[in-house]
Amino acid sequence: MLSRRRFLLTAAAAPSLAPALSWAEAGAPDLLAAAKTPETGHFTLLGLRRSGETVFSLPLPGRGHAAAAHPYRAEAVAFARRPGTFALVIRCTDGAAIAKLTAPEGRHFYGHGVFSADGGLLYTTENAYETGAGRVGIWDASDGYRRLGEISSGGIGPHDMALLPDGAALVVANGGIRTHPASGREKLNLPEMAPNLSYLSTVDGALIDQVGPEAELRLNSMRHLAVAQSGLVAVAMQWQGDPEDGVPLLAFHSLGAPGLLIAEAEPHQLARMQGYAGSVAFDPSGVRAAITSPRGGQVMAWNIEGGPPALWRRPDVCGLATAPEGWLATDGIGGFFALAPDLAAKPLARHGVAFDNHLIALEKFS
Amino acid sequence: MIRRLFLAAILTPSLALAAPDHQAVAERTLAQVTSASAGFAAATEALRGAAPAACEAIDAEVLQTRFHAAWDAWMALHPMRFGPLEDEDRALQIAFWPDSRGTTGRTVSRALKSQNLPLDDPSAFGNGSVASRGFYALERLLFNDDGAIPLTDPYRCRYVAAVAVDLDRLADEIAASWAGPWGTRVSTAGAPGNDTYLAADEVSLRLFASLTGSLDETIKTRITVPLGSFQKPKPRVAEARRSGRSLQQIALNTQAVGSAALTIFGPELSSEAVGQIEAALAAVEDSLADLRAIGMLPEVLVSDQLKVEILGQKVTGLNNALRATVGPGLGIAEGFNSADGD
Repeated sequence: MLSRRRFLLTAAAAPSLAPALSWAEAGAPDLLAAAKTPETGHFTLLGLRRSGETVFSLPLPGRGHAAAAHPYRAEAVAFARRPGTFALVIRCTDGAAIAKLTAPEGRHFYGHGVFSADGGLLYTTENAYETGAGRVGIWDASDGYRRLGEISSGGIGPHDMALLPDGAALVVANGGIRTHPASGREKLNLPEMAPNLSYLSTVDGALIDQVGPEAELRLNSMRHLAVAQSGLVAVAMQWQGDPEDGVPLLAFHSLGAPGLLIAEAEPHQLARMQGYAGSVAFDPSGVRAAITSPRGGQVMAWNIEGGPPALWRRPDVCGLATAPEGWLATDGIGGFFALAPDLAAKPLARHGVAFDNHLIALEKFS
Repeated sequence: MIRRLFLAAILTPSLALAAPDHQAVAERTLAQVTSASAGFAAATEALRGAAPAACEAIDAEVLQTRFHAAWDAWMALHPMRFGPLEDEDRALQIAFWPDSRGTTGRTVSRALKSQNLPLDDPSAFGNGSVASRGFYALERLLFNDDGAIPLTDPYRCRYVAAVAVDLDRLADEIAASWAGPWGTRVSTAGAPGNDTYLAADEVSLRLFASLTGSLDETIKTRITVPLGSFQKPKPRVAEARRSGRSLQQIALNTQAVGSAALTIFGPELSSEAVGQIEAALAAVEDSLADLRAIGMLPEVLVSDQLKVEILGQKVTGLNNALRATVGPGLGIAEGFNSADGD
């Protein structure tokens, strides 16, 4: 067994052995999304252009989730629906599953993952469900996605995670909710729930910084996050209290800052979000972040420099990605929209599919 | 393959006719919402006419009648909660509910004490807190736990007048918006340049989600929350109990949802599907009649919880009937993402 420090360094230094196909060879998509075709009930992984055009549609074995895209190879990781124990690496030129990641004994995936900046490693959020400890699994993307090891996620229920722009740390949203596969998605620890945002060193896995909501927002599960080029993190939350409570669902943080900056709004506007933010993304300025609520059919965007939030309504809207002009958003009836910084919306397409929760941008603009 | 499909067609009772005409659904939606908006605008205008700012000029009986009539008209419109009702949060400005923290009561009593609302400036008043305006604030001004409040305090009378003017403004805005931009959006659903409804079925979907969401809200906030637990019912959180409307609100809501579903979606459904909705609606009405026979809702929550629980089941049954018929019949499904959290 290699030491934690050693395997991290070893893997990062390992050369790529096989010639791999680039995203250009997969039709140069700008975005990835998982979707369901209602007529057939089949699930697919879609490659999309920012114009709304589909460049590939590849079959998935089940409801796929939150594909992580390799930075330059045409490879996407699709996770089984939570609490899933496997993930497939799909080669996007032909749809072949070139690797299957199986969670180690006693672990399941939480449905999100991210590649290291050089594409050498894949990190996945996992639940060591007998103890409830959150883990980040580490896989060698340059050697057939072999598992290298794991580190603590810094909390319970790690969900989404991202790399800081300098690649030196991972930032993980630990939702704080303990689940066990024997009871599906049942929440086992709401009375003690303590979500946090943890920054983990990519060199040795050490916990560098950690921040959580104030006591009154303790039931706000930190779930999805986005990182701007400045290193600013936007974290989207899901409220475990009454959906009508109208609590804030977005917070900002920078590594080292003493606390979270909460995105406030009128309680009735927040209540329309139904306590649920599904996706979060910055716009290219890196000072505006938006969250989507499929349950409330509403998108809200805040500028960290101040001012009232912008609003846009669209039923079942959930997928959200940074785009050169603002954001792109998808919904559960195949709608594909461009959103301006003030959330003025322009429909680009309506596909005959139901887009799943997330829209993954292959290139960063924020 | 053909053989299997054939068998399936025989064995599965057909809930759908031929291809649903979503354009026709959109047209009927616009007709229904236009008529309900006109009714609401007329009722708030009448309310405004019965709410002069000077106490001596008020005929309390007429005011009460028109207060109820205006709220009834709102309940007929409210289940079609999209477009102008969502713009500027008009639905919340008109009816701030659910109010789980009891904000309306506190806001109104504070305002009566401090007397600092801009009652003579409709635009400033209309920009104030939603908890200080709308039907729930008006109810607090007209009724307390003992019934109707005598209208003798000049500030209270001016406040009532200001809320009535504000409601009338909102009703006019809604009617104008349905007659204008929102009407165009609905009637041109799916046409190039329509940025709101990218296809005709999106109006069907929007209305369907609005109707089922409205029943969900009734089940939760008007029935389940006041029922509390068997040991501890919560009659004091029954909606609009001071004005004696608690049961009426449920009756009006279910009626409005049922009639909108039958009028707008009905022609696209099989007669069997229509019958299923009608039967579910009749079951709700029977249960309401049972309750009316034994008393008012807040009291019955304590004296005969079971009957209220049965009403909750019947309203759930109506929602299930809508979901079982309208969804498949019109080929529309409720939220893919909203139904499955992540």
